[in-house]
Amino acid sequence: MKHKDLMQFLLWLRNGIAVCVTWLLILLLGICKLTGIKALSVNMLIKLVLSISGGVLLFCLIFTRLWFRRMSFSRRLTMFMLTISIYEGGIFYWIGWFIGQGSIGQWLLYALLFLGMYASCLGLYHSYSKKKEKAYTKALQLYQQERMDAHGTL
Amino acid sequence: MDVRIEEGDYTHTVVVIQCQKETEPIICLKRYIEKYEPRIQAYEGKKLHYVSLDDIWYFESVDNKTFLYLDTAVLEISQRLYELESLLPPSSFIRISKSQIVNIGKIKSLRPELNRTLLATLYNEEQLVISRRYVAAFKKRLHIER
Repeated sequence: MKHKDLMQFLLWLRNGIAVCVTWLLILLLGICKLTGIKALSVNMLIKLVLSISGGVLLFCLIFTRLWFRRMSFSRRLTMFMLTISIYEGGIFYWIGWFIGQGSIGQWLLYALLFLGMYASCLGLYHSYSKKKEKAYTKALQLYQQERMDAHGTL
Repeated sequence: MDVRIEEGDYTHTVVVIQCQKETEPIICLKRYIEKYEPRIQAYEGKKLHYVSLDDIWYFESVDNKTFLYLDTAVLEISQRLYELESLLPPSSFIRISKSQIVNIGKIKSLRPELNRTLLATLYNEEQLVISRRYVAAFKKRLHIER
């Protein structure tokens, strides 16, 4: 375990928890305002904050180089989607949002939500790759031009 | 004969032959220099060819044999890839996988793949994969920041 990787992991963990908890509170405030809820249970808030922190921890473990030094983005994403879907399922039971076995339709909807997110992430990554493709090809052409100027040949 | 190389802020390479008189050997030397082009020996069966480096698309090692790929032909050479790496001009050729060395001047475009390799498309539309192990060195050569 490298010190640099550990520091990156801790930095991501700190920033991730800060961002996600802030957004959770903003969303909760919005929902409460819209639906007219006057009070929130402290227990529920603790559970939500803990579950979000767990999700961030999972994300940081999979996407930083602390545990998996050499792994492609697609593999990391697949692993994250699989683990987070199981984790979230467990958390929803703990919080009390999921009760009993549920129907096949409900589980299909649950799976579809994660598949949708997975496909969106892959799509975003694809468009990011397109940008990279342009930048790399430009760098290549620049290199070839430099060589052409210096040696009169590619 | 004294051979010297002077490095400096020159825009072109100029070879000057200083001599008392322009004799026949000097004329031959001048012609040789004028026609000089880095070439590599390659075989098509038993037929020997001298191939200009500029004509080579890439080198590939298959079953302990090394081949070079031209526009329309594939020729065999005696050197191994690791030997070629030290022989070839590093600004033109680069190792892209365990079994291939490519002519950078023949690459048309580069595309990053999901598995962290790069896909190089050559001007003849042939595609070569720059394996993960060699991607960093390749990017460094092209001054691409990580």
